Amino acid sequence: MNETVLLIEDNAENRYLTTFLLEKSGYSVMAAPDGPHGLTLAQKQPVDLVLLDIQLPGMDGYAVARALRANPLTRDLSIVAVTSYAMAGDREAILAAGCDGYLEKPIDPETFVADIAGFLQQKSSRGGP
Amino acid sequence: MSFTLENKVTAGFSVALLLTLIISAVSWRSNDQQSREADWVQHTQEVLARLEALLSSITDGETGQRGFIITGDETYLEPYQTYRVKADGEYQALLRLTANHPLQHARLTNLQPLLEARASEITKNIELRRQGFEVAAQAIRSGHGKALHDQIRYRIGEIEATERDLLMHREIDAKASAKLSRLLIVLRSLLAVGVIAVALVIIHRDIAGRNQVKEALVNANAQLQVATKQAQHADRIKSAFLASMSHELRTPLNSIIGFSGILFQELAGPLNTEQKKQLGMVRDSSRHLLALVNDILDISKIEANQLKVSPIPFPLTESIHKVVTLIMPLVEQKGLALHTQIAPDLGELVADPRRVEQILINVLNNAVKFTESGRITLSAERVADISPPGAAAPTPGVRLQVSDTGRGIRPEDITELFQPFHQVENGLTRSHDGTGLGLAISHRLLALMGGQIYAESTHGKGSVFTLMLPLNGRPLL
Repeated sequence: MNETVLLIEDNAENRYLTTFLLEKSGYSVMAAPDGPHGLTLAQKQPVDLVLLDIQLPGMDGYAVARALRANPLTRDLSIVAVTSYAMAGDREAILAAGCDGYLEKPIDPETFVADIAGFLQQKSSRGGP
Repeated sequence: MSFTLENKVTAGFSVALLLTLIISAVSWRSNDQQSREADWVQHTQEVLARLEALLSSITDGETGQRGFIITGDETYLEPYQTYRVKADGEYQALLRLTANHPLQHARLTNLQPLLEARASEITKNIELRRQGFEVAAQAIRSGHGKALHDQIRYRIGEIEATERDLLMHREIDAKASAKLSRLLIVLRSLLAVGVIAVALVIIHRDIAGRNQVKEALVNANAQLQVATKQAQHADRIKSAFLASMSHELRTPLNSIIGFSGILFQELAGPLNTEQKKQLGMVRDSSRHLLALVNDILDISKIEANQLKVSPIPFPLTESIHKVVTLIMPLVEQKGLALHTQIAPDLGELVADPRRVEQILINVLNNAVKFTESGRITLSAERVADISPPGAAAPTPGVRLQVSDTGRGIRPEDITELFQPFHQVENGLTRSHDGTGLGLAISHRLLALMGGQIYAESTHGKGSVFTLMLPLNGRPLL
């Protein structure tokens, strides 16, 4: 394992929770509190999956996803959105912005890691970078 | 019966045209008559002129005779020579002219012998003079010639009087005709003006009416636009509020569910039996709280008319399997059996998969909740028409049914089943019974998706919940 997950999440407690779960399952986690920081990290470090909160202050998750896809360095990363799923049409918007899938908040601590593994599996079976 | 402007204009102008034609015809007749009357006047005047000429020529004959008898000079006979021919000419003409008037014609005819007699008298006197003055004078003194002449004069006078009378009448008639003609011209002009004026008034009123309607429409439209903007604004506010609420509520729930789950799984360290038990309760409650929050957010959206669905094509069978997997633990826990009958040709459905699954889970949860023993059956098949009888066109779709061998629903509860906040009394297991909103939300969701849900039950024997979904669901907003 030892895949690296980039977590972009503004809420400190959520960051702590998600990081704990992932690290306990053997993942390396990089955390960024906002979009711009996350984009910088994504370009500097090798990352296997980006876990992206949609409801970010300032540059929102859709913009971050689009930016990641626009950049040749980060174009082929696996991007999973985390969303409160407030409105119908969110799903379409998420996929349209370039994400590979989404998880709903609040996350289920019992299935979360399996879901992440599933996304990574999809990615590698498609043929990663 | 209402007349359109076109009808009115056409009718109006048709009437005007008809009246104009009628008056023109009458006018023509009048004019014609006038013309003929003028001819007759002229005719009568000619008769009078010729009578005058006749008398004058007879008098010429008289003058010639007198001159000659007095002087014995042949030169004085000149008027006498021509008078016969001239008188004859006038006489013939008069006969012709009076052909249409029997009385005048008869008078002229009767005049002829007198004229002849006079003529021969004059000739005789002239011959006598040639013989000698005295003998001629004697003939004249007899008075015979004079008597004849007076008679002729008298008769011509008679004829003349009648003709003058005729002339007077004909002139009166001609004047009357002219007057009528002028009257008709005035009448026609007035009529034309009148009709046009009336037409103008009608058209003007019609246009004014239309302008009023137009103005009213413009106003109504403006008001509608304002109202629409206000409604849209209110809508946006509600939408923003609900989205914000959803986010705010889920954030602390994330921590509660997340950390209690981590602790429960012993990822942060081992737990003793008591700790595990208590954390289990926290975990269960936190999930229940999440279900409540989700339901309340949904019902808020329904009440605010903000609940929307997002249809996409998806394989229904997969969703059914997903839902069955989720409900299985509860089924087994209660010692029930779950049987599925899924038609092989179920295929794809265009609908919001998340919501379809939400509804199925809700119905299945209820089935498990209200069944103590026996089995639950979930069936799914395509149907040709899901619309109620009497609908215009058939709508193809799928029918999903969940039947159970549970306690059933009382008749008085069936009508209230899909109302929000209604809960069937369950006694013992109140606390984890759900929110009482599930069926209300399911009902509303199905309506939005163009489908329906209904329940049938025999109290004590079991219940059957039927869901209908169109194959090609479009959100009804």
